[in-house]
Amino acid sequence: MTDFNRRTFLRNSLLVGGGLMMGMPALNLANAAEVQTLTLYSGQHEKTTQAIVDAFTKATGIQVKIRTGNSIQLANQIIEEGKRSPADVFYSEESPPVAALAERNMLAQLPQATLDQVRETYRATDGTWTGITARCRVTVFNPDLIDESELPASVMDMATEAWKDRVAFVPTSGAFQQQIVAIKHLLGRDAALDWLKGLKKYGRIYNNNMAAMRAVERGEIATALVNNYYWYIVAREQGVDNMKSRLHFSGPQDPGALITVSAAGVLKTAKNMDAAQKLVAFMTSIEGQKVYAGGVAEWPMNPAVESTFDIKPFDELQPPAVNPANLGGADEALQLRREAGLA
Amino acid sequence: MIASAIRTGRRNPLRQSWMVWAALIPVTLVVLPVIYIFIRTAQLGAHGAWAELFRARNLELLLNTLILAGGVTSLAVVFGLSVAWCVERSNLPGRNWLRVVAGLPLVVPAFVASYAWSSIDSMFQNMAGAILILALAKYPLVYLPVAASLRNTDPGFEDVSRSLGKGPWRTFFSALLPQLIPALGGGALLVGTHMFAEFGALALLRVQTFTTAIFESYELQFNSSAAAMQSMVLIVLCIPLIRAEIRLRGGRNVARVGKGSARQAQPVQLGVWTIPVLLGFIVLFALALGVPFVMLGYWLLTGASVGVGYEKIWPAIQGTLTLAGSGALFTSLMAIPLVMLAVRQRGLLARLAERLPYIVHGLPGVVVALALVFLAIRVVPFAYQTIFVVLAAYAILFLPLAQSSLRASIELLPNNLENIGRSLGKRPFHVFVTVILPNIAPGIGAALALMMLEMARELTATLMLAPTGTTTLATQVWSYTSDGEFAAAAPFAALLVVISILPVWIFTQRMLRQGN
Amino acid sequence: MSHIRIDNIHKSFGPVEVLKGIDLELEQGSVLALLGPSGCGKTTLLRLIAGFDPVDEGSIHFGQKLMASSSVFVPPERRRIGYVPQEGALFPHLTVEGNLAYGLPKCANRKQRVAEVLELIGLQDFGHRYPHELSGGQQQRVALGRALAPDPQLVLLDEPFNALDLELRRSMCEDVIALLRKTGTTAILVTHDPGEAFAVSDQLAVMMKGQIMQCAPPETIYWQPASETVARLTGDAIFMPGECAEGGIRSALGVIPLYSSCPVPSCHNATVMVRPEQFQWCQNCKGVPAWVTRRSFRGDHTLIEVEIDDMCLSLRMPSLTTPQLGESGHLRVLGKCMAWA
Repeated sequence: MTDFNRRTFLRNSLLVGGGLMMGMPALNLANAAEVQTLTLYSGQHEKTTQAIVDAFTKATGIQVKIRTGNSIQLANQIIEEGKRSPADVFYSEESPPVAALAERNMLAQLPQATLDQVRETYRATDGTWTGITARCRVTVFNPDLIDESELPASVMDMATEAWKDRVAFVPTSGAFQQQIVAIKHLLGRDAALDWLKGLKKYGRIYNNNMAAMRAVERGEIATALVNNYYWYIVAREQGVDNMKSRLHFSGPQDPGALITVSAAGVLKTAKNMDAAQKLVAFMTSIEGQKVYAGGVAEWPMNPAVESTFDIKPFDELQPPAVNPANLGGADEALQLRREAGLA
Repeated sequence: MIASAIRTGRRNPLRQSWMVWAALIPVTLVVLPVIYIFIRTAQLGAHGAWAELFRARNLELLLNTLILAGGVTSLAVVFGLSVAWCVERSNLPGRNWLRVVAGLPLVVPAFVASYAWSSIDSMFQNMAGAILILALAKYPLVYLPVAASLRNTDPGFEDVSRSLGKGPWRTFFSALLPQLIPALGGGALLVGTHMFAEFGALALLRVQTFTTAIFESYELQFNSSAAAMQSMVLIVLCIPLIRAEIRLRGGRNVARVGKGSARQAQPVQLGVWTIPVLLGFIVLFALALGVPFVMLGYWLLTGASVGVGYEKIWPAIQGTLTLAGSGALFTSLMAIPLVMLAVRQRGLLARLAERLPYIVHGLPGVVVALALVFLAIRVVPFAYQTIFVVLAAYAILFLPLAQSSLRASIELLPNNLENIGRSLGKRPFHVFVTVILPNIAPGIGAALALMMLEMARELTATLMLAPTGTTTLATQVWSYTSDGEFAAAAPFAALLVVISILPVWIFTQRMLRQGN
Repeated sequence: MSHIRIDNIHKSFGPVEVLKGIDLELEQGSVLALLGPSGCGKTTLLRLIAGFDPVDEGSIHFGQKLMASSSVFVPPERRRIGYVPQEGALFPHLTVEGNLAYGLPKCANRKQRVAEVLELIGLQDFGHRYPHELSGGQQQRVALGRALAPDPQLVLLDEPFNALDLELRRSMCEDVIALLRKTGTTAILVTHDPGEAFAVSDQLAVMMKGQIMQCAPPETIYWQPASETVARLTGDAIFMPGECAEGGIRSALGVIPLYSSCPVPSCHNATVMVRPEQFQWCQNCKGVPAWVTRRSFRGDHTLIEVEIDDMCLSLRMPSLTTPQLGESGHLRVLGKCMAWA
């Protein structure tokens, strides 16, 4: 009667296998429940986040659980989670996602001591979030296709027929939205609209910044409007000496030289408010900012710390006179993009 | 008499009442994102919704979406059908080997393929390129069911057609193709709805569709209402596709009439066409497999970030296997009652219930994920960010894949088996476990394999819903590539491919053996 | 007391009424054959008895116990029945032993019972085979064994020999009767083959368009069919006009005595039914003169057409005694006949 045995065996092994499969999650659950710690939703690069969290834990002994994701999706997630959100601190690659939470009144006030640690321009006017590091809009160009001398001082001049098929831009990127709003604030709505229409007509749309950056590096297109750090990311991977493309900074106060920031805020609903505030304070402290200075090609927002990367000193940048905190208005940007046929 | 017996068997509502209850679980799950979309759309108000819907840009997106879905589906059908015919019906040398290789492009995640292609030349970064690349990645979903169906069709139909004076092409279109329609339609439906929801691959290919616009609405405006409105459009787009597929399947009965076993078809002699056809295969494989593999190798060899994150490999594999394994099991279990009811009962309600997941299959992952965030944290807060919500999300996203793999197996099940089990004194559930399950094991195997494959790649829902700190191969690939560390991402991407080989192999084998 | 009692069963599928008031009774240990053409509702009736479908109206009793009515429904697993479908439908994933054991409760003598049944169906050496390794006849035997193994109070066979070829069919039929008799099982067999029905049954019910036309022992059905339809369904029959006469009914073949069961019709324009084997050919005997117009040799028997007056009859004769083509002689009828208005 071996068949009965075989059948029983098969059935039992199926049951055991199935049970294990379904049971493993429960085990994970049990593990997760043991540790009661601070929860950080982070859209910043995983390595950078891990480095700062490690330093924080070392300094304070507070454990941090990191939930990594895309900044924007994390912000959307926190919005959908509403009051029950498990997040204590939200750390975003760009300021608009944090600003979106502030707009929905979901962020707690940061103590003045924390705010005072960063440059005044680069934090929320209502004190609900702060910039952590800054980066700059640049024009990446490929010297094989275009000479630096041909590049105009202002990005405003790059939306013309002369630049047909020579400018890559990413209309859906967060920094681009901020750039649109900056142009509107600095030069007026019509200028912004004309610029977008020109880009739509003559420029080439890419769906993401890295794709645009690489397109220039490979010589597919002469220039791209991106953030400075994309160049460093590619450079780190390929080796600086192998880089074909170069960075071009727009002229003084030009919207093309806009500074944007990565940002962090504490949720009003944080279960561990004290520790959460400590984390943001640490991220902006000299100790914390040094972690960034050595880790990413961005400018630390604490004026006492200098980047160790080979980038222009922050004070030599000549950004336009706008505060990133005022550039979160995605609706303004969207309205303009819609009128220009870009959305 | 016989016909009436079958009909009566399918109509009996008393027979499988527990199964009706079981089918309610997946139906409920699938309805969740729809509820969320309605809640969010309602917040727009009638006026807002109207304004949001009728914008010039939406027409452009609609066209793009339709062109992409139509183009990829047609091209995938062309690839799938020709490959299937060549390996099943011609005397192509090495066809036993080619038969399996032809299923392999499934191992390459679409975002890897699109990355590889977009970095070759910018000429692929447009609609035509996107259609080619995605068709290359998805054609096995058409090829496998069609090949299985080709193997089971009776060559007698073709013989008769030839004897009636129809040429080989006429015969193909008038005698063979109609028999393949159900398999073809099922595969095409999967590819088509898949294209509605495709996002990852398109980001690099410079094509804007409704799905990329949905992402945009979330990303730039944090506006879930606009995104919900756009999702509604996607759902509406899916409905005619599903109707068409139901019609193709429903009205047709290609079973052989009369007894006698089906003859094996005589392979068609390719003659002088052998070399060109072989060349065609080589080109196809070079495009579908060669390009992505070379790209992975290139990343591994040239990047400075080689060796970064090796310590995360094991946790990532573990995470992938846990999530994809339990997800596949759960989703297949959910799919069985749905398909059983649709095949056995044939009622309108059962058929609708079975097709419902296909409608939701056209929704991008981000909508499903946010729907579950919204609902889970309010309704079952204790389960939020535990694996159970991830399982639910996977089920919602991938049920149709499980259904299509199971369907053939369940259709082959002799109609009387359950009745006999019950007449022997066993309760319906006992009969299901001891008789039905073992006999649809091949279908379950295929479903599990296909599920594992897709779930191992899933990113959006995993990122949002998995327990905090969970890593999978896909999240690691995403994390490193978004930092530009392609060399660091390469081993994870390669592992993802390697892990996929076994499920793809099982799936291919299962699908090709169906009905033998 | 009857063992199985079926009262006034009605069943409709949508607008189509498939069963229009069926009454049947079945003694313990007897075999009932349900004979009827395709679509007459016989399989539906079987499924209602099995509990695969609910009844609309009427009742089904097993002994004293009500199994089904418009308000009561005992599910099939609690009816203690055995079911043998057309195609056998063995569980393909189980061996012969596994199939036989499926319906048995988990207890110590399960193995013993399986062995018994294996012996009963004569497949002692096939216990470890899978269904696809068996021939069609063996599969059907296993299907029957599987149905008998749990010792059911009723076995239902739905055209169980349909899938088999002719020769196997006959021998299987014999085997099955022997088995059913040996085990004393109460059984209902659905078939459209009169030969099968006669051979197997104690009682034979002829069904037509959702109604039972006649239910009686096989010989009664054959010789004394209740109607022309029943006569046609149960075998070859010759119909002639006739009218009452002393001692029987007068037709072209002379006066033939009537069965006493025959409801004598109004004596004019009656239809007389005679079975072809009642005819006897003789050279010089009392009978009507006839001559052979066609002759077709079929081995053990020969078909001939004979002409009497204006009438032409098709007859079956044992080959040895069949007259030659063109031969003339006399034709007479043996036994009694049936007649209807």
